[in-house]
Amino acid sequence: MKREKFIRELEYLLQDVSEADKEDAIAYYRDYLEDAGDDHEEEAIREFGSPERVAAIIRADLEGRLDEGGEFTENGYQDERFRDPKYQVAERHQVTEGDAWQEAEEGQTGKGFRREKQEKGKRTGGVLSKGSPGSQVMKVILIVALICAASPVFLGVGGGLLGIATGLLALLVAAVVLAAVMTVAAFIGAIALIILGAGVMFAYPWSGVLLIGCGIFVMGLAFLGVVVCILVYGKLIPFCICGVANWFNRLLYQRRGRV
Amino acid sequence: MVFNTGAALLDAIVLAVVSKEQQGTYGYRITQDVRGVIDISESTLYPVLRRLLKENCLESYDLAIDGRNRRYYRITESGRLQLNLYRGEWSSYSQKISRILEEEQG
Repeated sequence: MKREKFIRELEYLLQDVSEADKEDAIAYYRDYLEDAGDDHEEEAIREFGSPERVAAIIRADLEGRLDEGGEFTENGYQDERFRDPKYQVAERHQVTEGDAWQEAEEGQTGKGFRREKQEKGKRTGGVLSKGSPGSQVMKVILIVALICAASPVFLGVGGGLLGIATGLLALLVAAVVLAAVMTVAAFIGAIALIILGAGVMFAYPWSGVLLIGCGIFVMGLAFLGVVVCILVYGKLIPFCICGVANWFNRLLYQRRGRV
Repeated sequence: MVFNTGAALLDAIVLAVVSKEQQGTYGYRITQDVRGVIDISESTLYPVLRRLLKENCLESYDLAIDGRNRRYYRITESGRLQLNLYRGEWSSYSQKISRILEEEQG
């Protein structure tokens, strides 16, 4: 039932209000909707706007801020703070058929809704405050000042991080190069050992066998190195290059997108 | 209508509406009665009634109706005084405005 849904949402939105005030408000709105009866219930809910709007008005009243911005006009209570899209006020005579509350929830602005973009308020703790252009400028200035003040720290930390990153990169490159060199060295060593073993075989058979065995073992290590090299050069390096290229691409696209 | 209704005038209208019912009246009916005179939205009156209760211009009591409690509002003595003050103010104010606006040119 629409009434129950409205009351439930209102209860949820007023959780942080003191128990007595909350129950008072809930009782009033429940009463109101029950007295409106099944015939006028939907109309009343539609005119409330949304549970969010009603909750905001209740809260503003409790905090004594209602008189600051509100005005009772011939079109009903008007408060700029409650007129952003979230708190759309349906104007009674203009509301078209349909569910205004739901429409407002979906952010659609039907015929009956006022929409004034520049009046979009910001919601702070369930309360609306106007974000004036002046405060926006102040915000930017503050952020710039903060960055300037913190730059020594950023530079120090950033420099340190850059150093570490460079070190790690160098280590990686060294490891990659070392893998190749070791593999080639192992191949040469293995062949040398086997040839030496074959040469020595006739004079000292056991030493020859030992040397050839060592050669075969080193050859095995060399094959392992080949596998590692294939992995490193065939997969890891292309992956890194692709990653870096993508990153640059994204950077460029973002720049272009912003212009 | 292009004229706005200030908070004081709304208070006066609500007090007048409530004062007409000796036994008191309830939120929905007050809203409908007020809306018979000025165009206010349905969510307007709760803060107004709350304020009038707090200022002791109105008092409230619950009455069992159809198996539930309905809150009734009744005007108090100080509410009546306040209403009389509003009546006097309004009478002189509206007369002055009428005089200046309805004066024929010439």
